[in-house]
Amino acid sequence: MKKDYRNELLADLSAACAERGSDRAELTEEEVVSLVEIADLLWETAHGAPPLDSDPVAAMLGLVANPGCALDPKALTRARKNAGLTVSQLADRLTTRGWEVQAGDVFRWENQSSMEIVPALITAIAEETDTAMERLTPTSGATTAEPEWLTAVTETPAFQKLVERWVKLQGVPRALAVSALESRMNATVHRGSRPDTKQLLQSLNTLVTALEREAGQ
Amino acid sequence: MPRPVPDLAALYSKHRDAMHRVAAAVLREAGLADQANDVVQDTIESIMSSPPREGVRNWEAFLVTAARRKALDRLRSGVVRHAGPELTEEHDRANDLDVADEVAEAIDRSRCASLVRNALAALNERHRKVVWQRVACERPRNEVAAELDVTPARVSQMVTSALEQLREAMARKEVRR
Repeated sequence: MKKDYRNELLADLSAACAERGSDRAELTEEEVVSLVEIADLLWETAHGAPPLDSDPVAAMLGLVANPGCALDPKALTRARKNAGLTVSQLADRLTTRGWEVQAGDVFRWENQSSMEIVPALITAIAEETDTAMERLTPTSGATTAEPEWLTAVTETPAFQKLVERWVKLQGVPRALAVSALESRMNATVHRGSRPDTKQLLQSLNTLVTALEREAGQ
Repeated sequence: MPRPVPDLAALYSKHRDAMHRVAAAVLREAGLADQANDVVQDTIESIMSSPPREGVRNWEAFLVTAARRKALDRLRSGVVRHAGPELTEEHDRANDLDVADEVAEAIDRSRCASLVRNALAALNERHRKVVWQRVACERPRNEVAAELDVTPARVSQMVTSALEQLREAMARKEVRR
């Protein structure tokens, strides 16, 4: 299989030249190299990251919006004012942490919609306003129904233990740990056939154990 | 004053596309591009477990280079070496590459990939479809030909013409930069 793609492309280039007639029967070596380079770049553009909701890494990092972990607009306004921050100051602090946030975004979250805010960003807001994450997401657990297969996993004692280990490992609030592990399972399911409860728990356990090992815990 | 360390989630959100692209490109030659997701996951898990201790000047460069190296590690792994395709000399020399060059190349490649993606808009619909299906998705020539109701030879012509147009469009953009 190795480099078959290159041979295929060269065959296309060669066949095309043969059809062009005698004046340009062959491409120069330089032309071939430059076209192959363009082809490689084009191939790479098609092999970027998967959509967020089917990217297990994004799920693990809290980058997938979770209705069960949604930011409450009023709680955000309260937290920001209690911290003595203006809308712009909060946006600046989040920007310093690497988030692409402008004052207008914070204003919109407080007054219009905040459903798209991902758990990792809510954690950052909680830290910058020195507010418990649970106070920013008071509606947690009261929103959309989870699919049966997910409930079957999250209700097990084994999942709760994994959540506790994730909290300890990542130093994140419990709600974010639950969200991260749930999103990760969702992403795994999106990638292929749906595994059963035991397989999902095993997969999460493997991940947490590997991270604990690397972290020396 | 030490540089503030950004949130890994924010960094990944910004640079995940480049990380996946570079991992896929490294693995491609060994026919392992479908393992790019796993490589990126390994990369992030390593960073979560052992965050960089020294100040990082360019996080895009750091993440892309980390993904590239993880992909090269995977190519060098025993499983691939024994059961998979042969490794080229380039893979064995990878550790000796100058780090600055490696970073610059990775970032430049990422920029070029964005340019070529934008340049696709300059093609007409049929050429865009053919070059995408044939080159980006690596579909067999006969399949693409049947789908468009043209001869396989015509597909080759269209691919070549599309690549030439992309090259010209990119050259124009490079000049304007």
